[in-house]
Amino acid sequence: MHARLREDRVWIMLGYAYLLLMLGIISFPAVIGLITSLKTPTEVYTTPPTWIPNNIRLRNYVDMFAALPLARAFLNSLIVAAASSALTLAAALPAGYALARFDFPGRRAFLFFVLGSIMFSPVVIIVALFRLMNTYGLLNSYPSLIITNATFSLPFCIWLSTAYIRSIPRELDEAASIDGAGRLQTLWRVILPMALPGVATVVIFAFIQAWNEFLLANTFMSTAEMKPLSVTIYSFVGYRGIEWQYISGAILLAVIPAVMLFLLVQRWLVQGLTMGAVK
Amino acid sequence: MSDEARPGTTWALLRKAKRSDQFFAYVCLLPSALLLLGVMVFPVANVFLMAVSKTDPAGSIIGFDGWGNFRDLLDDPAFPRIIRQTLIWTAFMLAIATPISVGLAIVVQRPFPGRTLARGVIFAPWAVSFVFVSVVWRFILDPYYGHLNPLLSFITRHSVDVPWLGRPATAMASVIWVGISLTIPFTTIVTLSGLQSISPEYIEAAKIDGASSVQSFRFVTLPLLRPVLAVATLVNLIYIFNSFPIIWTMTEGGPVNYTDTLVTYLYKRTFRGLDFGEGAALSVIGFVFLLVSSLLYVRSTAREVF
Repeated sequence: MHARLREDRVWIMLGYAYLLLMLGIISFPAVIGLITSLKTPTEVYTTPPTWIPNNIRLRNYVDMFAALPLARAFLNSLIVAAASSALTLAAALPAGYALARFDFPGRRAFLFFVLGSIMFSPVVIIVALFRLMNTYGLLNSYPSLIITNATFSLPFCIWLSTAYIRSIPRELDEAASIDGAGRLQTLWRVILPMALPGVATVVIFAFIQAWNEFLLANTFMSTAEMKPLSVTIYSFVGYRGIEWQYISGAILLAVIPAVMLFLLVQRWLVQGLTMGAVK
Repeated sequence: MSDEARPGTTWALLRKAKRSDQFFAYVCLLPSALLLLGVMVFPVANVFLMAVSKTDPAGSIIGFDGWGNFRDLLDDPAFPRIIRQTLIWTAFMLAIATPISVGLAIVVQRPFPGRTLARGVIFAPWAVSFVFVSVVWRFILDPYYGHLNPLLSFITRHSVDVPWLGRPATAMASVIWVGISLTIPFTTIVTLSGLQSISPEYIEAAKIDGASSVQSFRFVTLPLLRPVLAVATLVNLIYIFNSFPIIWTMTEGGPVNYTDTLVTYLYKRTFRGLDFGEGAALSVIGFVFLLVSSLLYVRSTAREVF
């Protein structure tokens, strides 16, 4: 869309200014983190703090892998997060389709039942969850985290899928069924491609939920080789004090896989997928 | 098409189609239902049970207590303030983060050079566990080693030496600030996905009819955005209300209990005061509040979704 009107151009400039301001604010802690990750331990604790490290210590990034089993932790997080988001997608998308397209007894009740499950903070139910996983025999195993994280992601993902599929014109469903498609085929071939922005959001959300999750991981996983990134990085908060230079660096590294996934998936956050489809 | 000479058959066919539709719908819901039942039912039932029971310091139930735990809470002098702090925490974060995020989503919707980078930067804070972001901010706000005071001193040309997390008002502002910065990525991306479902033809049509940018936003974009925005706000309300890591990592509810919310306070009562019953009662209170708020919210917004 071309900005023919002067008014439009003013808005665009304001928009850029706003964006730059927000990006600056949002990246402030990350910049501090980067600076800190390159300092020596003593320099971290200087008053007043230095903005550019006196000796840039890239070695920190190597040392942190020796200090703790970070590589293994990366792998654990990857497995749990990927499986969790796949499971969430497989459960939430059909549910959203059903809730958006069909009317049946218990529809509203189900929506609120689903929502009600996140009205309890994990802090509240952590003890009972531990006992539950123990009963299932799943303690210190991947499934315990995969199942729990997927469940916690469900409420938002179901509600979002429902809202999103609702916004896709029903005529498309009907056109597909006239062409002979069964309900499952309609979902897979017609709805899914149309709902890609919603799907992208679900995948990102569920992945992040599992990638970042700390409390459950800390509770369920007891051996160092099963612990995911969030728990392992927290070990840098030791008895002697917080090893800021390692924590900052590890956090920055931990961000990378998630950002990579996001960049991959954000291609689907494009407009006009439903455009012209009914014509 | 419909055979009016034999209405009995048509009706039977329609009923059969409806029933098989319903069956299909239930099958679609099955995986989610299984997950939720398998994981959530026992813990939640446990909370309700504990809320009306006497508990021992190990967390086991030793007797029935009725409303005892709730009465103890009402007698607690800190309780009204905790409630107020929780509401302040929730309201400020929602009210500030939502418009900021919608604005950001609009800006990064249209293609421009560097858009992918901008989206990546917006997204990045979400990719870090809240625990760690809070830990970093705690460092930044530290009056001795942290970078914020020196930065503010430099900008305002005054010596800024505020003990951010040491005073009630500034501590509250600090945790809210961090909370907002962590709510923005999620809300922006969800809003962005909602914007993408709006066909640009609607806006074109409005412009052709002479609408200004502001008008086309208010009367075309915003209403079409409402279902997705409503979901984001509703879920934000619940997540923010129940949020634990940010406040806990930054202040542990301190100084004293001036940044405590319902959840941090119940954590203290449960795991420090070793009063599991009271902690459970607090959870029930929180749950009821959220349930009522959600019902009211759903009642008053986007009919299109519910």
